[in-house]
Amino acid sequence: MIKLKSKSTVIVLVLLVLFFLFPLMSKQLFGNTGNYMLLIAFNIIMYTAMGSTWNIIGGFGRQISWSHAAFFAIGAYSAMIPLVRWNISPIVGILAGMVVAMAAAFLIGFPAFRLKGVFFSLCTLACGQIVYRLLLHFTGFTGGASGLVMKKINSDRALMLLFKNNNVYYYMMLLLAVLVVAVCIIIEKSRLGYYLKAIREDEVAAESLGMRPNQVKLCAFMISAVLMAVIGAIYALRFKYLDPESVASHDLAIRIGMTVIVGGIGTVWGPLIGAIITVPLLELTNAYFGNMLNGGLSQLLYGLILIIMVIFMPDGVISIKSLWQNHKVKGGL
Amino acid sequence: MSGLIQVVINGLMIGGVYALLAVGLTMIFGVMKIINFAQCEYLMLGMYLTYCLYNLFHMDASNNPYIFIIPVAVIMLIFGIVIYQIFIRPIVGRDMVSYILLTMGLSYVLQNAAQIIWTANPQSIDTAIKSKSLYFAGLDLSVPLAKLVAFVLAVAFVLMVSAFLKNTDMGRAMRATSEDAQIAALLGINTKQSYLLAFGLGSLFAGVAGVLLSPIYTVYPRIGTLFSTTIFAVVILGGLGSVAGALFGGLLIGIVENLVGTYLALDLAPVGVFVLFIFVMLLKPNGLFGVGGRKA
Amino acid sequence: MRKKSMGKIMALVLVVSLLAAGCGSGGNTAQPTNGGTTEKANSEASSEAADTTAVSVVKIGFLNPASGNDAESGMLDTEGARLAVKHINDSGGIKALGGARIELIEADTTSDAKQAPSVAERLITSNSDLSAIVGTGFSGLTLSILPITEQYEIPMVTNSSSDDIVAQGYEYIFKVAPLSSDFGKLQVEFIQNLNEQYGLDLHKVGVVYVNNSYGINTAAGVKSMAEAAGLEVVVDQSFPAGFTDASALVTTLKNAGAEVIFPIAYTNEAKLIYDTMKSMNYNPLIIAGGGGFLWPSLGNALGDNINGTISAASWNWDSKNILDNPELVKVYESFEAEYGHYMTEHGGPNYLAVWAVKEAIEKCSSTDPKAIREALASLTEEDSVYLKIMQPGTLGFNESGWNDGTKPVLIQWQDNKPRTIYPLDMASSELILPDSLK
Repeated sequence: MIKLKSKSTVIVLVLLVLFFLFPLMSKQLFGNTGNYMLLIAFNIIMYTAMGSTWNIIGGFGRQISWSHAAFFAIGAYSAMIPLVRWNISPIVGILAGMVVAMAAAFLIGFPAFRLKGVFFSLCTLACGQIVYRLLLHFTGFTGGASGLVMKKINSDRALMLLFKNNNVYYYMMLLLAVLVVAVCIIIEKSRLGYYLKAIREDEVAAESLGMRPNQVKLCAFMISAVLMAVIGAIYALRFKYLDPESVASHDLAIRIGMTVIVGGIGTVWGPLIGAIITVPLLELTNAYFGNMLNGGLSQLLYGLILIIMVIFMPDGVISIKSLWQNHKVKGGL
Repeated sequence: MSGLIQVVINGLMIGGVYALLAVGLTMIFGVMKIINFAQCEYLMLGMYLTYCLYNLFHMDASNNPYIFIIPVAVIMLIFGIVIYQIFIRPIVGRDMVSYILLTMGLSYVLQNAAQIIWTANPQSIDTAIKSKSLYFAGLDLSVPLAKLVAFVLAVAFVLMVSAFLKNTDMGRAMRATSEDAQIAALLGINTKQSYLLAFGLGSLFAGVAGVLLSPIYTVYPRIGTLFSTTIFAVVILGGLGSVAGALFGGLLIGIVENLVGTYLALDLAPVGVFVLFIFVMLLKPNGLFGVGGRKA
Repeated sequence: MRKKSMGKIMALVLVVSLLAAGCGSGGNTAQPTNGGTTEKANSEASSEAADTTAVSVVKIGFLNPASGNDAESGMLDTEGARLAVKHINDSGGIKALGGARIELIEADTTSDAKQAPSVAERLITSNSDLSAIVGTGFSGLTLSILPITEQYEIPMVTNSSSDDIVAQGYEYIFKVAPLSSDFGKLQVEFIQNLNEQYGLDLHKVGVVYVNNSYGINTAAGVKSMAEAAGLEVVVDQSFPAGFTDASALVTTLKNAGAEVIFPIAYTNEAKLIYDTMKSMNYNPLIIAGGGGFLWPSLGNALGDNINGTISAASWNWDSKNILDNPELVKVYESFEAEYGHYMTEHGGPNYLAVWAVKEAIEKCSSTDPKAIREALASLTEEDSVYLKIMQPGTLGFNESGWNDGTKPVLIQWQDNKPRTIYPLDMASSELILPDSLK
């Protein structure tokens, strides 16, 4: 139950308020680098949202999917292609993207969920790669490897979701992230979440009790994909450039899952913690160690830190307090 | 018709390469039930080792790298054992998620360590065999020699590994551990040693694959990424834990890749591989040679 | 699950990481933000002696990938820029600012177009006295950074080649390199000349290209040129970047009977293509579309076997416009002395980019990015001999920011170095006809 007076809920609300106020405070707090901090905050929020959608199927249900970058890409391209090619508002694009992502999730999930464990994961990896290769292949439609780029925005056009001030996109992403996390909380407390937990613990037993696991998994997968597509669309509008390598690649798929695993897989706040850690970590290693030692040092450190985190915090950073107390926190909330 | 034969031969040749890489990966999975996402980075290290040894001994176009198979194998075996002790042993017994993060982090670390040591510039060894081939004028068929060697050795390795697993105590211990680690431990089998050995051998195979591939490819820190998704597909398609499956899966994927690439579009070759993969997985969820659906 | 601990951890981690990131990059925020105007007033007041209020260091940002897939060519870009900075500083720095030195602030964009904007924003916001930026060598990364340089009104000079870069209406971007789609014209002309001069009948061409932005654009250019010239394009296929096997590609080309091929690939792929062609006894004439076919690593990989290969290039070190200028000869000689290999197709344009910024600063006597932008827009090769380094020896940015007078050249590998062979008014050496054509 969400107790309104609970200490942690207060902390979460405080954080939320901080995020909302951040664009107004960043110049005061950080001076010239205020905008950069806003960009980092945007990325943290975005990865929180991405991780949360992944968590619905990957965390609650323990179906580790490596295809979520494909849904992100579908959303991003659905917003960009109509805008750049035919001057159609991204609002239409986003809706279209949600439909396409849902269909893609169905097409991918229907065969993939027949497999279990690592077989499922690698099947989703294959599907994600297919989407990536198809985006590269149909150059005429998607722009292929050259990508799609938006013209310079000279004036705000709200109906086209084009704004000169990036803070608008910041708030859009923040609201979206709040929505996604809210959806996660609701699912977690709902029957769907209960079923997913049952599947996670013992799918065979759950099935024998009359549940239809494939339907449940597919449902969670599709919800996850639809939300991810919207995130992708906002990303595209904010950054105004995309290509298959940056939005549909294997590396992104892994990074999404990794963010959640680092934070605490299967927990509602795991993605937030994971994003708060991994996004600045990448920036820090680049800022302090970029261009050193033939360019390899920054990412070497990033990889090492991830390894150390997984060795010492197997259930994610969220379990850190309980580790100190020598308990093992198994699973989620 | 000879065109088709050439395409199939092309497929078999690259398939042998895939098989060689897949054998190590499948062995690690079979025994330890983890997918080692850093497997192809061992390949990269094997290639760099070959390159260093080649230069150390001032070899040139008149030599070939195969004499380094044994030294590289030994070094990579030791390396695999060291990595196991430092990184893998602390997380043995944990769930899959830990292994995923760890081996992925490891692959980042290895790639970037290689970049620090050797820079991002591709290096290569100069050896005559790289462009030699057996040419059958009648059929207008050519079989690249370097790849043929890799293919033959891949098959030889698979046979050796199968023999090892069937006929030696250590091999049988590994198979027992792979079937059911708990019961194997109860029966007195040193499962920790099996894990160690599996990991070390996986590293060894990838390293040897590196030697065999060094005439064909240039070596650079990210060369492993060229193969990794394909190798995962091979291993699952062939059946996790099945060495014969790795060989067969590799060859099959190599052939399909070449058929799609030659007759459809080069760009769609990876799509063809993944479609095949999904198709096989739907028909035989445990892979072509996979053993029944018992979970670890 | 312990909600209390979760909440506290989150708050703590958030605050700590944001502060750390802020402090880490905010090191240089102590500079006055109106440094530009102050310096201008100073340089007007005391143009000769270096007085204590004049600026002594001019900061130029450098954005290129040092990690990830594009690290190799990022490094090649860096070599050119660093050498230019060294030369400028060694020869007395920026005269109009009393001998101010240039400091190149390098940042690793990584090869990820999602990450590059963060790096650019960090570079700009933590160096408030940044005058200009040079970078990147990759169209995708450059495109992702454009909104940022525009927002902060900092001019960026790039050697990326995609048309898209100057077609979006951005005013703070300057592109020095020729269009990759222009390569095709040269490649096709060259074949026609060969046919005439040597009585050959090469008319079946194969266009195979790596599926990335550079490959797509260059291939489109050569394909349309070839068709317009009446050549028969028997193969037109892209292949995945990072493929493991060239057999299918070579088999396709061989089966189609391509006599000339226009490949675009990077080092590993090019090596695979070469070796596979040799092992299949297939020896078409190769007129490559640049990319890895011009890099030292391919020369090392193929050794003497690379000699004879022809390729288009956006720039080459021994074209006539360079050989005719002893100053420019010194440039490539010092490049070779510094880095141990010839000055690459990436090194030249980056050298030019830094020098163009320097000359722009000389022109407007200011470190203010807006003034530099205006100066860049009106820069020509007359402003300095070092601006003559792009073939055919001219420089001039049109309204959209493109140096539209620049032209690509054809090179042939001779003695393990790429030598300019075409067009004839740029050539430094003659074509050595490949054996397969004799």
